[in-house]
Amino acid sequence: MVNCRCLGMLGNIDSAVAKIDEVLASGGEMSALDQVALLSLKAELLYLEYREDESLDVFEKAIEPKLERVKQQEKFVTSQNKHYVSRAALRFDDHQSDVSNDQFELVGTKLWDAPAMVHAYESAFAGRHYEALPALWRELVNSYRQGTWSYYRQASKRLTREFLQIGWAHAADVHAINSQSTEFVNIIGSTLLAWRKPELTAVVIQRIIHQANLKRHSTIGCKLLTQIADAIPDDQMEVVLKWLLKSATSQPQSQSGKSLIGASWETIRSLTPRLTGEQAKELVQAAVNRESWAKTKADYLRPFLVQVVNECVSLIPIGDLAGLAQGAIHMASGMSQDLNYDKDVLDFFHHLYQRGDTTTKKLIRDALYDTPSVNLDFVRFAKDFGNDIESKEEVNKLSERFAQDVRLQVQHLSPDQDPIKPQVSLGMATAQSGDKKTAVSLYSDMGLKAVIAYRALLPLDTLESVLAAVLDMLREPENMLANKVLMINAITGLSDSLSKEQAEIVFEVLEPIARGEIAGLDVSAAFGDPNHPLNPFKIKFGEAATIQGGALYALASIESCIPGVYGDRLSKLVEEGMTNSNPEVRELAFVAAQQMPVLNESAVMRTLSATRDYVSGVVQEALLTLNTHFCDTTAFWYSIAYSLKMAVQSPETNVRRVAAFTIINLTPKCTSEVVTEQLAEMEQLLAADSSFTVRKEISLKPVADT
Amino acid sequence: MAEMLKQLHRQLQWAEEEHRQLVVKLFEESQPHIDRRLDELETKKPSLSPGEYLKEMSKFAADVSELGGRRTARRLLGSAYDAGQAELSPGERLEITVQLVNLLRQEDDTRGAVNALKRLVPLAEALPDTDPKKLSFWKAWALSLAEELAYSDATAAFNRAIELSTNKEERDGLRAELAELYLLCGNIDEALKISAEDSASD
Repeated sequence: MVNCRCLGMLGNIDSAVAKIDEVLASGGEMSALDQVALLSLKAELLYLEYREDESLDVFEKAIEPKLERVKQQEKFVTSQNKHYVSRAALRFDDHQSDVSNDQFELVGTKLWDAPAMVHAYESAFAGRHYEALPALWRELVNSYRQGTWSYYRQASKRLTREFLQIGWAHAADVHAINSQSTEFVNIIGSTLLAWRKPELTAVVIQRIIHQANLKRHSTIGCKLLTQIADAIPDDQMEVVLKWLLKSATSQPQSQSGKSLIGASWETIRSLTPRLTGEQAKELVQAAVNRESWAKTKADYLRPFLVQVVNECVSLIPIGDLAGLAQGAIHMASGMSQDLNYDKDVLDFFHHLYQRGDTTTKKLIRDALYDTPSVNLDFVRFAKDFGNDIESKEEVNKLSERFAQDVRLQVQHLSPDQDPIKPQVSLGMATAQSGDKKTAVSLYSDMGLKAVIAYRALLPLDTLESVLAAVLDMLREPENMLANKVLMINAITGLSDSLSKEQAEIVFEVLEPIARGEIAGLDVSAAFGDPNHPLNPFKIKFGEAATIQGGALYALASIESCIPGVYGDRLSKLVEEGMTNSNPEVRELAFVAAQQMPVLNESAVMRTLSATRDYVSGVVQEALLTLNTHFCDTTAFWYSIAYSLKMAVQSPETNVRRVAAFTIINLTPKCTSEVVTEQLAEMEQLLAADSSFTVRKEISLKPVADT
Repeated sequence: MAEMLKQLHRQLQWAEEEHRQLVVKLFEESQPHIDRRLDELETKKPSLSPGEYLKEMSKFAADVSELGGRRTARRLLGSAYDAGQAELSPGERLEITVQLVNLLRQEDDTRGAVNALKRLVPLAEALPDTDPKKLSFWKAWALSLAEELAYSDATAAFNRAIELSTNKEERDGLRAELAELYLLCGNIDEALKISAEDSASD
């Protein structure tokens, strides 16, 4: 039994199944129970290979005729396992397992030790893991011996959770994979990344590619590899890719088998920043050879294939692009007429367009813009495909239409009036009280973005009416926060087209918002507080912090286009935002600070302090701010050296990456010899970092001053 | 028909309940006998050395356990064990320790089992390899370590027990336990190796 299971796990499923058949055929003195056990293993291995139909065949033709000769418990276990496979094969007519369950309840035997599990959990909560772990382990052994697959999966889940609690993430992968659950993938991955111990990561990777070869196990293995893609040691890249390509190029044997193929391509996508030209070429070939690639309508796999090939476009020879575009052009068919078009496909064509020759460019442009577009995104991107199709008049008409459409977000109506649906609405809610009716739409800014893309062509009065509509919807107390975020984004988009007078009007509206005075539709009355742990409805219709921080960013964008238009008024707001109690506001305040032409000394000091914030997003933005807004004083250099020293030791890859970027940029500007030496040491440390992206960042040249 | 079947079902449930009551009653009826024997043993205790008392208690605990008093047996043997075990001959000491360990394992106290056996490893190793108590000790030691998920020590103990085992069936059983331990801990290569050897020898 162990031998055959191991063979299957190591990728020799056919040998494992043949061996089981051979042992059964040899006859001998094998008891009915042993025969059922061997056949159950065969059914399980087939199930784990996504071959559910064959697995059910084993149950129906080989196991069930032998059940008369085994005890009630084995009958129950068999029916449970068969039920499990039936469900995976999307057959929900297996009532026998319910009957069997009732029989088993009557017998009264318990297949798992519930009191022991409760005791184990209590021990774990109390920190007595030396008691919890053995109990959870014994339950795993019992469930394996008993042969109920679902119990074994549950026991594996419990053991994984315990391993993670005691800090054994480097050993938890085995049980996470056996549990066939994606629940632990993120935490195992993030722990391994945070540890920055390549030797432990390498062991986990080696174990996955060596023994997670049963397809259901491979699926979880792929998901884990995706999480740690950035930390895969260079010398394992080749074998990992080879292992992934084996699944990525396989054919699904059942509906459920598609999940492994999708997962393999998803993992491959996470590795694309690390590919060589040859590897990229091989992957593109593998992707375009898949049947999904040739389909006009996207299936389960095509989005992954497109994403991978898109990432490879910059790595393959320009000479190959014409052929690639020819082979993909069918995907453009009907896109401009489709509101739910595949954005990845458009991005891929854009990428091909940028790198391709004139013929390739023409091929793509003609295919995408073969009919007048009803899709406003296509209007917006027309320029990017060299197709400036809209005349000034058309743009003007479009803008006037959307200046009206924006106002449809909130409609104050009389009870007998019907609301008008905006051009693109993701849903509408109406509320009536007395003789007033209010309709609020969850708005889509597709049209507004198209107008903003052509802002340079807009006459002044049209621009003013668009801006007035946007500001009115921002002021509107009945509007929902999600819509207000879009309005703030629109102001940012228009920031380089505003006059000083318009900038003043914007300031009047955004200043109170930037201070935190935010009014919006209270959807918690209908759906409850999404942050409350007992509320099952977790849908959020925008956060006040996003609007507050967004207002700072919008104002800073205007200030960067019209330097001095707000001056100290904005500096004060940004500085207040830097110390806001909400981390999202702090983070966005630093993003805003990066836009400011000048930061005063006090703001720089706050930024320096924020490089030691407890929220990594704030640290990153504060460090990025100091790349452009630094003070050439000894105190500054000593202080930032300290912050960077902390940052290069951070368990967060993004913080180390920003530290790398900052070190590379600031070293040539640093006037302190001592700090320059320290920066050089940190640079060396990051050059050997466990993260590929950090190593890449530190190897880049400094960004030229603008 | 349905009514008749329902009635039959109720009767069977009642019979089952009666059976359960009977088992409990039997256990309760054995209590005076157990108490009397325990009293006799306690009366004799002053005249017995701690070692002799432990030996008597070991026999008594085996009977109590067989009558269903697993926890009582563990408590009684456990309380006599600490004072008396040092006086026993190595063979007796190993035998009674393994008896106590089996009671502890039945009660899921594998940590207690490991602690009880740990001290006796040198003593067990000092016995000749042919002494069945030595194998019995290593088996109990390997199983307790495996249940405690002390992976490295458990695999070493299984290998030692396999070395000592002269009976093929027993050896195969131990090898199967070891292969299972390797498999469940994720060491597939070792699991495959040992299980392949077993397949070849069959």
